[in-house]
Amino acid sequence: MKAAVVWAALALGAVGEVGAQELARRVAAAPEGQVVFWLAAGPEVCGDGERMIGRRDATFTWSDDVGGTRDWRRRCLPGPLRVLLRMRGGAVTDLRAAAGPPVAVAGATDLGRVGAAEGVRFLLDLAAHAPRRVAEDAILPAALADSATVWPSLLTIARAAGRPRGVREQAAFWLGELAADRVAADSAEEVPTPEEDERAQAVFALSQLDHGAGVPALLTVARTHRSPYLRRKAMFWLGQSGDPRALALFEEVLRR
Amino acid sequence: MTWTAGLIVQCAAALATTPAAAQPLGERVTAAGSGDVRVHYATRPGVCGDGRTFVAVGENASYFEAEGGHGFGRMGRGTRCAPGPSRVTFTLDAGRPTRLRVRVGGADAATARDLGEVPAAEAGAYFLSLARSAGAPVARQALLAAVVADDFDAAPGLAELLADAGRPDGVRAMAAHWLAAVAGEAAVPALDRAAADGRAPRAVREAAMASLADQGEEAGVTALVRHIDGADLGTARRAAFWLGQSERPRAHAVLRALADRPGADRALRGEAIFALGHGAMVEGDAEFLRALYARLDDDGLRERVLQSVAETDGEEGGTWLLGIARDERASLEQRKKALFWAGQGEATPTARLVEAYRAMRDPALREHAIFVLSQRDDDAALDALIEIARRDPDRSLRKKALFWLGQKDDPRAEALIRELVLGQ
Repeated sequence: MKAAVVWAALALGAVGEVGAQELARRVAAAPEGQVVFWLAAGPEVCGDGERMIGRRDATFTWSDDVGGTRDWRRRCLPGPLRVLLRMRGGAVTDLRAAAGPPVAVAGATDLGRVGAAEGVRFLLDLAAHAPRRVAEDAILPAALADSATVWPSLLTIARAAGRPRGVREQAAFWLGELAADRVAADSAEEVPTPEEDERAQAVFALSQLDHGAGVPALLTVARTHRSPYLRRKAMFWLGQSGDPRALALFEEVLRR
Repeated sequence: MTWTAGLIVQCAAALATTPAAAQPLGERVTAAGSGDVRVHYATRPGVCGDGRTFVAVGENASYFEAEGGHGFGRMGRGTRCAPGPSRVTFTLDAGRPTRLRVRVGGADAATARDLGEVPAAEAGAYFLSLARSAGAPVARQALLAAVVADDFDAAPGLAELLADAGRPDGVRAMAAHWLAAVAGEAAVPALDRAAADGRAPRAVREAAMASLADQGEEAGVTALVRHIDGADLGTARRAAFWLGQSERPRAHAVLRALADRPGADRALRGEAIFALGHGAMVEGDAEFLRALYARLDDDGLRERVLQSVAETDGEEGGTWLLGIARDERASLEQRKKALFWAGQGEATPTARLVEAYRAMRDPALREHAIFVLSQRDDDAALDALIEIARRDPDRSLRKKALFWLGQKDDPRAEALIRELVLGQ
């Protein structure tokens, strides 16, 4: 009954937003076990409500068992982001995000809907300070939340030598995505021309060159190529590179 | 007091410089306390070494040390191997050896206390005794020290060690190798028993079979053939492998018959085919394998043949493999495998692989040929990949070539990729 009440409240949007300072305190005070909160998702974000999040031409899953990836678009529906935490001793030990139709979590302490800004601040704080796995997993929902400016924090995290490598790589990846949105938003779901498709293979090959040898050329493509499709591809591979020159480009683009 | 001390000093000096007839070597070692001490003794004929990491007992049995391990093998041509006495340096801890180094040839740095020359037979007996009781690292070196000693028959002691279930596997395995080296055909019964002992650790049985092959006599081949025909399939497979290492024509005749026997166990046939391609080169093996291919209807066995031909058959084998790759009557899978193994064969010129690529019409084969070329490190392969990436009429193949060029750490590949992306 309790779960059903929560579902109905969410559906009606009747659950009030948790206060700005409250979220971190309430999470810390929550009993051992699962805690969930909700926040608005950014544009073009969809999901199945439990295990898969989709955005444009990419999917992000927590499980291999999502029923195949070819037809994921049919199962990808709009809806809020759900952040599911596991708490132990007052600390977050696990984090899973979902998007799409609200699906309640039986037995979880439900904190309701939070403002995107406060939710993102909480998540970015985890990304900056929590142990590796939680920190990595916190970046995805932060990057996909609605109307939140996350890139300055992500840039700090990506450059923080003291943070685990996987966390820095996740931050760099999302910086690349955000920068690509800025320079080539309209090309995200375009079908490339045959020539673009072939050149994209060359862009990928640049990314595979040893010792970052391809980075200067990738930067040139990302900045100046006439094809938005190839600019996005270059941004993507720069986001995978971990190269500080890539981060400098992302900062340059996102500051505009 | 002075002349008494002088007399004591002279007696001590006499004891230190005279081959120890009065005091057995073991007692002298124990009395030496701690630190490094060295003895030397005459070696048997045929023993030589480089003074550092390598000792040989005849042409076919060499022991060498490398960082992190040791091994056996045949002395390579041109190896510098100087005869001379054996010099054994002990590291002692309160009279107990904790490390041994055996050197022949070359010269030692004079950092160890020199206990002088020891009668070779006494040295051999002492070191064999040490091998029976010491931990594995010391025991292995002690075996070497015993085997090289002149006037000493180590074979009986080695056979006992090989059979001693209480000794470490590595020591028993080493005893097998040295037994074959010093006793020749006479070693076969002991080696055969060890190979057949189902209770013995695998490493010991493997060493015994390897030694049966290495000792080079027909009796060793006969013993291995018995194991192939035995009931234990695992032992039979290993015996097949080691038969392939023998240079005896009969060994290879047995393997060919086994490989060509339709009723034989499939895995055993595969092992025989593998052994023919990865062991000693015997005239007729290559031709046999090529002819066998046509008689096989098992894809796994056919691939074993392709692999073995690639390993042993030089350029002629490469030509044969490419012939299969280009034969449009063969299945796509077999053609791809033949192409792959042709590429793996060092004797197949890259130019032939490029010719094959150009002659093939099947896109899947051409794509596979691009992969095969990518596995080569020579300029001809790189040139071919660049040419394909630039000019092949098939876009998907151009992309494939680009993919593999991106995996190369080569400035020409980089230059092409930049050119294609940036137009520079």
